Amino acid sequence: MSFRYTSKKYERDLCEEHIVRVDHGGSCNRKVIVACTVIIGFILYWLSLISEDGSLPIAIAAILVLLCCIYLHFIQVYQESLLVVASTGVQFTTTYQTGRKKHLFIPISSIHDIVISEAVTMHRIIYYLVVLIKCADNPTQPQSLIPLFMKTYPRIGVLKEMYRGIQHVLWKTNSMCHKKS
Amino acid sequence: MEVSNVIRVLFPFSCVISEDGILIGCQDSRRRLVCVVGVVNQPCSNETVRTYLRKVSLGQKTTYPVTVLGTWRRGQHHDDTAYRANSFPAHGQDNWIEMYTYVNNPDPPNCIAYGTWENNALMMILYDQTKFLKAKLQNQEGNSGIANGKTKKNEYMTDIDCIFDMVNSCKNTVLCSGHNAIEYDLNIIHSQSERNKSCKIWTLSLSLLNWWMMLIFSVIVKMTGIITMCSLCVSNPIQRLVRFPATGCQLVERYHHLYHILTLHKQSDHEELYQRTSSKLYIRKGNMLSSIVVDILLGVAVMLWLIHYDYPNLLASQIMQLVDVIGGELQKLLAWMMGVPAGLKLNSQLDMFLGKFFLYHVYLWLGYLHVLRPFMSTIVWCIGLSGCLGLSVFLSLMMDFLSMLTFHIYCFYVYAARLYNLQLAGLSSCWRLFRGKKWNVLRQRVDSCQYDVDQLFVGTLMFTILLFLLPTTALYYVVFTSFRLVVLVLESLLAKMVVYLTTFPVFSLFLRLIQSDILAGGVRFSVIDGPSNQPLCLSIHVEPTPYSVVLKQGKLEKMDTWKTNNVQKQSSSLGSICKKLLAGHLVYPWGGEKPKK
Repeated sequence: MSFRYTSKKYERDLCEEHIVRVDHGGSCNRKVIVACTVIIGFILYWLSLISEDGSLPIAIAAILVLLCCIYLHFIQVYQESLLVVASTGVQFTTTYQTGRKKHLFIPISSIHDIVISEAVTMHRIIYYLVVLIKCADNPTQPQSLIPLFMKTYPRIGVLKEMYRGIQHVLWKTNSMCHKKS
Repeated sequence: MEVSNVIRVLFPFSCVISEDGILIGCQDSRRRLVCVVGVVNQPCSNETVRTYLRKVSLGQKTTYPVTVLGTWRRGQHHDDTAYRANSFPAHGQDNWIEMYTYVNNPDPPNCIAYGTWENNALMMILYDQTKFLKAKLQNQEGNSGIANGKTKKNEYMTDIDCIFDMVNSCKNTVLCSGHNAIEYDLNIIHSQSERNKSCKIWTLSLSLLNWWMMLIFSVIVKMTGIITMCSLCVSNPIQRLVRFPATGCQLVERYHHLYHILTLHKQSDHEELYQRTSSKLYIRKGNMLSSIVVDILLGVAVMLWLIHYDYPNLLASQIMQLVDVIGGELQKLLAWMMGVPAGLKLNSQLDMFLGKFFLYHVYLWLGYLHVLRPFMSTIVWCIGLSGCLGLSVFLSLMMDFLSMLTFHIYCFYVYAARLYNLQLAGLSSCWRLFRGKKWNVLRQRVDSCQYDVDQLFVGTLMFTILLFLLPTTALYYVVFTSFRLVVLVLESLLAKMVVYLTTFPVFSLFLRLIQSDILAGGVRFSVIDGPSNQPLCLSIHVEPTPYSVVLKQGKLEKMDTWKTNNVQKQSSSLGSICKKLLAGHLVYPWGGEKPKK
């Protein structure tokens, strides 16, 4: 899957936004799906006009349109973005093709660190950003992980750039500076 | 916890258009959080505002006292530099904020800090005051807090909790006592200042109604409650007896719900904890009450439907016919099994014995049903009428009725399972003897042992006999177990429905649908672009809780009252049931073993 990466910096490095947008070059893009649905819908409508019992093609068309809407609204991701605000936290936003947004805000008091992690799948190695969440009882140990950008999987180079930006914004303005490789 | 250097100033959207004045609000200097609540319009001096705030907050214990924070200016033109005069007072305050904007300014207001904060970076966060006041933060930690009876310590609170706390603590002091301000000739601008009085009358009448309801309910509970609660909770055997049928269990559950609704407000003894958890208790109460109401409405609907079409008589006759047919089919099946079923070569003597035993049982059962026949329609009628106690009671009565009607299947199953289990146990001990081992009861382990020739001979003989008789008993076991499983599936379906009816959070869902602001699941930030010479400006919005979380939390809240209930417990997994079935242990409707301590 191809994607486009942009990052925005705001006033005095207090805030930074990393946006990864799915590029419309791939096979399963929004326009192709909508166009296919519309064409098939029209064919089915035509079928319903020429056949004697027209309810079945209409029903199929309706189900198809519904499935298309569900796919675009709930499954197909348009962009993923990470808003990093100094001394407040990070906010991860997933935007779907229909514009539906899902937000996940992680306050800085529960962030242990943000690191790049690697995982070996069947035939390749993938890298992703991971937020380490602090354990409530033992603040020095991370308790759970929240992986980010799981729908777009940016390349390692982009991730490195993001990582530097995030570390700069999150910990530099802090009194204690994190030194992690 | 890390201390940040960035000062975050929260400013309500509603105050952006107000005239010049003094900013009032509260601050947490450790977290560097400043929360502006309102603007007091000029002309007035800092001193009058201070005395007013002191008077209002008198006798109220809050973590964040409302103080004077700084000044607010709204100039006419973009380059109105006269307003940027330093108005930092010489006395009293360590920190001072100055905010200014001008008329028709599309950008967020500018902000400058003085005093000890002068060298720190600033961040403006605009918030919607009405939404924040309405919102009740729903998070997992809060729930556990209620359960343990502990308040969250200030250090472990996140900044977001802190913001919610700040806004809500100002609510009591400033926002809800507007009439006081007029005495001091102050004009406080905040989101609540435009509310008219009809709203107040409405809330007053609501609270009166609520109070009356509480009074009536508490009288009822005091009359019935003390006796029943004592008998139900103190004496364990009676409780067990009442809870043995599903109906009794359901009734006790409903009673507990009612009792909880009326007594929940007494749970939290600390004032502060009560303030923090009251919204959750309110939602929990609402969930319980709404589930009872919905349950009863559904039950009455089903009852009316049944009675309107005169279904009870029809159902009764059909059930009797069905039971007769099942009895006949059972007799046929037993006759078939006493021969050579599916070409299996069984031990004919044992087969005949078992078959006759079960046939006699079926005969007894049919006699019992004939005695029951005249009362059948009355029973079904009563079950239908029980709909006015709620659909869940109706369903649990159906469950009990079903288990009564299929009691013979249960008996068959128990006999067959016991026989099968006994045979398996005998086989396993003989197998140990075969290998020269034995089970040591004292040490709970298998020891090796020296057997005599006689013992070995008898043991081997027994083993052979048991092994060759196993297929016959296994056949009966398999057949009756499958019957039993069919009944169990039906019953567990009914039980699942009852559980869903009792634990479904109708009220939470309703709140989420109608007023999604109340159930705040978290916050969402977005950046507002402003001029580059101004501090960074964000806006914070309340994010409603997702539906899945609403359903889960509302449900979990109620499940803790279900823990004492052992009839509907679905703790056993499919694997453990299969294991039990293979070993010939009894599978109960409630999943078997009690939880180990």
